[in-house]
Amino acid sequence: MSNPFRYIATALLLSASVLLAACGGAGDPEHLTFDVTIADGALTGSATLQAHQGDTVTLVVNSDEPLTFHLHGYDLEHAVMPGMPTTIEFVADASGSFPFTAHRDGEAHSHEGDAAACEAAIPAGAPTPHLHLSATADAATNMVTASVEVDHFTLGEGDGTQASGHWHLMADGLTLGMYMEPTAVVTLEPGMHELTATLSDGAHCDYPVSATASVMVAGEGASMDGHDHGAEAETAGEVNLGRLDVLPR
Amino acid sequence: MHRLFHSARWALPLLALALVPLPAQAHGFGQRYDLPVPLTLYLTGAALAVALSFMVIGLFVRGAPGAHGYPTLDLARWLPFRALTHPLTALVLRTLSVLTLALVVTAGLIGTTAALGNIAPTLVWIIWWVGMAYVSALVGDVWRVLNPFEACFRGADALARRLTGEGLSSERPYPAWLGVWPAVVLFALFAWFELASGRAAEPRLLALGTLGYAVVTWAGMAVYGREAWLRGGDAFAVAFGVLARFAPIEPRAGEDRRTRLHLRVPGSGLLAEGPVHLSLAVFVLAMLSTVTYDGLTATPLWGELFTTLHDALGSVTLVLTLGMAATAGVFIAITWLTAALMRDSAGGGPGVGLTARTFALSLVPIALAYHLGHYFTYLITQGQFIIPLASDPFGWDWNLLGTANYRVNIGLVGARFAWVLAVAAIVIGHVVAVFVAHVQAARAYRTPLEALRSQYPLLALMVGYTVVSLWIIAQPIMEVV
Repeated sequence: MSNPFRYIATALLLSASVLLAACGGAGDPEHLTFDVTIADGALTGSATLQAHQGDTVTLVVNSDEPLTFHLHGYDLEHAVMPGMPTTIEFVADASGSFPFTAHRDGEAHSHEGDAAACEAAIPAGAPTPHLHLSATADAATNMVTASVEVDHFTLGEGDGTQASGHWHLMADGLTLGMYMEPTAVVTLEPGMHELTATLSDGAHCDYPVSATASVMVAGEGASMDGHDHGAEAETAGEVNLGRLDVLPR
Repeated sequence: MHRLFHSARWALPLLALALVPLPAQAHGFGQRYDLPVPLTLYLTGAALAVALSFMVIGLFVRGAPGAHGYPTLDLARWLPFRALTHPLTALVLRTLSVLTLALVVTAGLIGTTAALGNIAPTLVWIIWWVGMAYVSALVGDVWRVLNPFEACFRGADALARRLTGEGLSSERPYPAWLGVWPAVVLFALFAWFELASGRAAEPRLLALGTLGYAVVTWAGMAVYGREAWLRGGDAFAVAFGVLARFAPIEPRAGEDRRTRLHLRVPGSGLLAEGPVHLSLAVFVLAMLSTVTYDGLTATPLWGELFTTLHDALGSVTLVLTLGMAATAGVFIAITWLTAALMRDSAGGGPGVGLTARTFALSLVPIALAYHLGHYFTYLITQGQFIIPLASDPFGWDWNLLGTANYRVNIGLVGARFAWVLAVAAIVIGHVVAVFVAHVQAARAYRTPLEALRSQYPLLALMVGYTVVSLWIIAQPIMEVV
């Protein structure tokens, strides 16, 4: 009987030659810029972006609704607001095909646990922002209007002289949304609610500032829309947008 | 008035989009970042598979191999291997395994319901289901030692014997006709949960499913005895056992009834017997079909088919269930068709059913190689999530080992390495499969000419199977996250 090892060894040798054949160069690293425009929760352009390992990649993300843009694998997450292009730049040092998705703020699902574990940096020399929260409830509709007043903080894209970004509203510890405008309206269950507002930068890193306010929802419109915020926050609203293919160099 | 972002209002369009039919996430849980294998490499792999097939055939034209068995090397002469089979080692490993099972169930039941924040999905789908397949195929049947369901029963049985003098099992004789049919049913349920239910990553369901499987296993062992149920009813014992037939290390009972480890040529374990029980042939084909189906569901072709079927049927789970059942049906039908062609081509030899049961196992290396090549990056990348999860298994912001903030390194395996590994594995797996089939043929047919002729249809099947495997890894991944 002939030795089967010989044939397996031949297969290995041939495979090794395939390995050599597969090694090809792809030139020098480049700087690539991609426009990622999201309308109605889907990409308007190509769903597959292509780069080579080592390239510097700039993603300019536009969206018609507020969302969190998430490039998986590289695990880059950024808040995107309508009408405000968000720029994400990184060196594509790992090859692979990486999906990017959009999800609701409350769903920021960093794999390493708490998404807001990072702290936002206040520009050097700028004062610490100040935040005040007030809230009123409409007894007929269970609608709560929450308003923030900010000092030393720009809602939206700042000019770098003071802290900037958006604010998050939470009710009883549950994130309801992120806002650029100073006023937000949410529907809450009847009862007493503890509202918290925090300030965050574009990367969802929190400034060390928060404010709280209590609000009583009378409950006359209790079952008006039967809306349950707890259930809503449990539902993942993650949408597949496309993939970034980083080809080996 | 301001344009207000009512939280529900801007969430709803996103939620609606999330319900747009898209192929469900493959492989139970987790993401794959693999780039499609380039066309040249894909074609080279396919060409190599064909060329090497003829080389193996050439080998057999000259001489048929021996009648039975295969050479092994007894490893028990070396102390480390004797230590490995020491009962104390097994006891330690089993204890750890039972504790891990308890962790999966506990975390699944009381930990966070977020799939990535709970250790249960990562531990079950990546570390255990993918990882154990690697260990079974490349090392040996480690599950035979680790099996925590068995270990629990074994422990309870020993305790019962000490206390009452009577074991837990009624040891009713296991009917021969039952074969591994119970394992086929349990495996089908498991595969459905993994690939078609769309809910495999939910920690609560995972824990309940694990408990359910444990209860069925213990009930089976209580009725038919531990060993009998392991052979015929424990789907994972059967599945890892099939994969381990490929492995280089084989445990054998020594003269002193102690287990001794033997080294053998990889794949030779698939030669150990003649025709297998019909139920085992079906089990193997069903198992291979789920591996292919899993890869298939991430291809753009399936994406289109899925959309069409979903429009017609309206249910994601229904489409995935049908897809899974159809793939298994196609695998079984093609195998039997090939067996019929083999009988025709050979002009004699065993009947169609017997032929199918004789050669079913020879397909294992192809599926195995595809699985190993396809999931290597996935295992290495997604498997790293076990590091932060080990510190915070329940998703309660613990940091037991100080690794809770570990960031997954996506650069450990480069795309080029992954490509070459996958293609090389598939080509080698193909060669081993062709080799195994030829040895089986030499044993099953009266003359070398009959044996040779029987192999042409099977060779065509194997080349087709291998090319499908290569084709899948040459497709861009399309899956919902």
